[in-house]
Amino acid sequence: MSIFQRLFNVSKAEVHSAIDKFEDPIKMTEQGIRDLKQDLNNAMTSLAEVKGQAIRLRKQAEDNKKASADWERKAMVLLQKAQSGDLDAGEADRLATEALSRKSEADSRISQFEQDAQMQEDMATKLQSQVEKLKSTIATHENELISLRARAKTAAATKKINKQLAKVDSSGTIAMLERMKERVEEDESLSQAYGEMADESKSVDEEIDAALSTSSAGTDQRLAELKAKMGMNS
Amino acid sequence: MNWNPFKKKKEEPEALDPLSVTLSDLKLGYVLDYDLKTWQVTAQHYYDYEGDRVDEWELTCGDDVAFLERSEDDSISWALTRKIPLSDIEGDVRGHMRDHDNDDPPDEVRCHGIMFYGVSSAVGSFYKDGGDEGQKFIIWNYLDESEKHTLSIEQWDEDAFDAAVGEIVEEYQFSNILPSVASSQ
Repeated sequence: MSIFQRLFNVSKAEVHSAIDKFEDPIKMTEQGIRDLKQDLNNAMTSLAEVKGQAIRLRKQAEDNKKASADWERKAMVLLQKAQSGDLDAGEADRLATEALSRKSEADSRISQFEQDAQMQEDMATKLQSQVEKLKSTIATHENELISLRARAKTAAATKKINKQLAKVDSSGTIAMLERMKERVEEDESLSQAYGEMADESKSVDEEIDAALSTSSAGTDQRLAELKAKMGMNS
Repeated sequence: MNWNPFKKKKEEPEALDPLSVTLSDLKLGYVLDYDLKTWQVTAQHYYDYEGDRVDEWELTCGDDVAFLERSEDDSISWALTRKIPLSDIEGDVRGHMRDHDNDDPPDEVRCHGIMFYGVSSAVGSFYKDGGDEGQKFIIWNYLDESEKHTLSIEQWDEDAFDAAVGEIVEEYQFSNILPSVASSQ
């Protein structure tokens, strides 16, 4: 592989990576749904066209059925007129034959129109099922979009909070609070240390006095109790 | 040079959402299902009754032609009617109108075995294919006892009458509304 090809591939990979970062999943989903709706719109208009064509063909078949019946009626009237002597039999036969020929043409058109109409109706049935499928797909994605929007909102809020916390921790309030806590703990340790040092600085004399003071207090008490027992005033 | 980079782009009409097409959106060429049949909109007109607009779509299914009417008061009401010859109404409607000073048809009429009772009359204008020029006419509206069936008599000229019978319908009875090619462009 040439150096240029490799460079090209690297650039291509970088561009794809950059584009991936630009992609907003919500906007991409919304665009996807819009595209699907456009497809649905096209499918629905095609279906309308096919159904409309079927309606027109059925109507043409009906019109020809009426024409066919009308030509037959006319042929019968001609024959009746010939029978009653109102019309020359030969002429009546000729005209009746012509009328029956028109009836036959109308009959063949009926079958053609009915066949074509049936074809359009079959096509409409197939298209209808595709339209229904597309509608259901769009509905599913629209529901998913609602959920995606909520999830993206939550994720964005969480991301913002976490980012804020991470930013504050290094130099902001939380670090300051931690420092204050440490300083209080330091002060406590210091005061405890001073206390211990003060305890250690008492002299032996002071300790004896303290001990005596306690025992003297006990003696005084007992003396008072004895005097009371003997009925003497102190 | 006419190009102007700051010129506002012309606003494009909002695309039709195929999933939310309603009966009120019907246009020429639209296809819809009603009463197990597929109908196509073959014309669209409207009436004006002194400011109150009533839309009308002509629906065709083979030989069958019906008229779907949409009127809006406090709520939207729909009626599906079919034209009938005046002679389908029992009695001599024309004679009655001619013989009475107020030129009104009878208050009660019978048609296709149903008794109808007069409920309102109005002077209106008819705008064929949504055109600008209206055609004046007078209409007398009737309802049967159940108030589900309708009958109307319209007078267009001195001696030109139309009549129609129909029924009150609900929007849910129509389904599978499909836009036409012309309307989606």
